[in-house]
Amino acid sequence: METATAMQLPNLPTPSPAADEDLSLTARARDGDMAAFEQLYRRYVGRVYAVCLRLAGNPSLAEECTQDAFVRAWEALPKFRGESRFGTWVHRIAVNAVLERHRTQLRQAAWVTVKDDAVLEAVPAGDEDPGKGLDLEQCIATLPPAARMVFVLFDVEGHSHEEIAELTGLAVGTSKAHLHRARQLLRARLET
Amino acid sequence: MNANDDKLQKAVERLPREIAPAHDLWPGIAARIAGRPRTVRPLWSYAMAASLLLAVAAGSLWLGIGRHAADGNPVSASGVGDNAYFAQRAAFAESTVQKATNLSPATRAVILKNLRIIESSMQQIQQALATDPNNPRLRALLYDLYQNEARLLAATQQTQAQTNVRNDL
Repeated sequence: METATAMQLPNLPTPSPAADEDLSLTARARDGDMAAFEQLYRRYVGRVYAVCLRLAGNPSLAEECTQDAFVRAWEALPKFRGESRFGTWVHRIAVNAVLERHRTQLRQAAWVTVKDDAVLEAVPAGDEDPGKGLDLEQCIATLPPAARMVFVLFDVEGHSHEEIAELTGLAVGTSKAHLHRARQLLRARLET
Repeated sequence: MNANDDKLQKAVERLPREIAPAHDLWPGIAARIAGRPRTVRPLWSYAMAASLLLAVAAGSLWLGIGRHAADGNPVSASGVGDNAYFAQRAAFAESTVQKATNLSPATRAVILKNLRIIESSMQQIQQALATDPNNPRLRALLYDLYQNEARLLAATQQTQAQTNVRNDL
């Protein structure tokens, strides 16, 4: 008789131990276990805070948005079906939390044309020492809000312009224009 | 692609994937989520939570005043900052959960674990308040924690009360 061990199993991808642990922690957190949720927080706070900081350009706002993201994740956990990793899911919640805070600025940005240099050039000088070379994080923080958000979402986070349009409410063309200007401004800072 | 394009792209690639926030954000998150309902609850349960909160607060204040009066020491500004106070609260919370015999031991263990997280967060905030007593954010967080602890205990008592009613029928 053929034993179970002798059976040929299909070549399935092996889930990583970290993914397994995520699933177990997520299931426990869904049942109300705050200690499990704290472990998920410790595991992903660095990534969530990084995206919040770059999008918001301000540490205290980034901290508030990070907290908001985890609180919303906790509330929405019963509806989380595990179709993506917890980290990916909470990362998306964090992006939305920051964008909601900037909704007014994004609405204004929708009306800014590429040639509106009075607004787009209004970049305060960073306080970094020019002799120390470029600190890209500081340069990103000094970009105008819409240009910063589009740059971070496209160049750092890898979203498409269509996805950015959906997330921010900007038109695809406006998103491209903001990206172009953000890169121009950053390159100009690189030259100094 | 010119040299500056390349420089920018390389700088983007070098950006760290993770950045640690300057402060531990967990106590604030724990304060906001502890005992927060994920489903709609009847209004009377909020009233019960509020009455329990008052009872806990009044009891704690009474114990604090009694103890300090007996010592001949004035009551501190917060009145609630020492280890004995937290031990009393923890004992009260533990006995409330242990009395909820309709809940499985595993569920009671989860509730107790969450209560300990709340209590630990309270102590951390109290320690921070000792150096910065007028910080409104810390005071608000502490207030939220008291409310959340009371909600969690009220929800535990509520399930036990419902079981008792069903058993009486």
